[in-house]
Amino acid sequence: MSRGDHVVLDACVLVNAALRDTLLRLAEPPHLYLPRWSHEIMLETTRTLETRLGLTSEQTAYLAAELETTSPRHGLKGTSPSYRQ
Amino acid sequence: MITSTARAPFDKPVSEDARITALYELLRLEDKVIVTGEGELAPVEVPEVVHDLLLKILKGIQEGKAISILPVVEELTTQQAAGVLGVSRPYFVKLLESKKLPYHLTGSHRRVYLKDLMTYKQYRDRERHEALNRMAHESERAGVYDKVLLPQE
Repeated sequence: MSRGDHVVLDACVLVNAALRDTLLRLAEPPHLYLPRWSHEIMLETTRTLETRLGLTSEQTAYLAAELETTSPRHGLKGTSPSYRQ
Repeated sequence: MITSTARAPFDKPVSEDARITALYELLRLEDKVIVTGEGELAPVEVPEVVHDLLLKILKGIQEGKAISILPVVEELTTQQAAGVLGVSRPYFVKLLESKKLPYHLTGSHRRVYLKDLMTYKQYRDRERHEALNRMAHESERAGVYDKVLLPQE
């Protein structure tokens, strides 16, 4: 992997706060890599956080909005979900 | 023109540490540095402007920074600007259309000034950083920052 490569962060990464935080900080300048996720991945992330960690829909909506700020998904469409319920 | 290599920072190979340090010290302490090759070409004194630039680059490398050299051009196409930000061109065009940063038209083509682009990039990187801090704080508050969820079969 070289700098500037696109990397898809799947739901199994995004649901874990410490891992998500660490990986997204690596994407800060000088941009070790460019994180991406799809709308489906985001839905899966919020759903998993609600069902398995008991977060409220307000909490996950907040998270989704903040994540959109850090890395808008730039048109990445679909992936195979690895985090089925 | 900004190519894709412009935003790929230059990395320092560990094996070259000693020579980089030596070169930095040489340039820092000596005003006049002459470059010679092994061929028949005459030695050349490093021009002052290049000397200063090399010092800046080597200082950055010494501090462990990744160095990007961005050719200064006044105007960038949307494709070039998107490359600098690490976003797709359609996404960048949306940024322009939602007036996140100024642009002008050259004929029918959108162009942005490098200065405006870098100002926007700094703003965006700062926003992202603050969002990361807020998210980490919220996760802590909800008591889930260190929770680990493994994929289920």
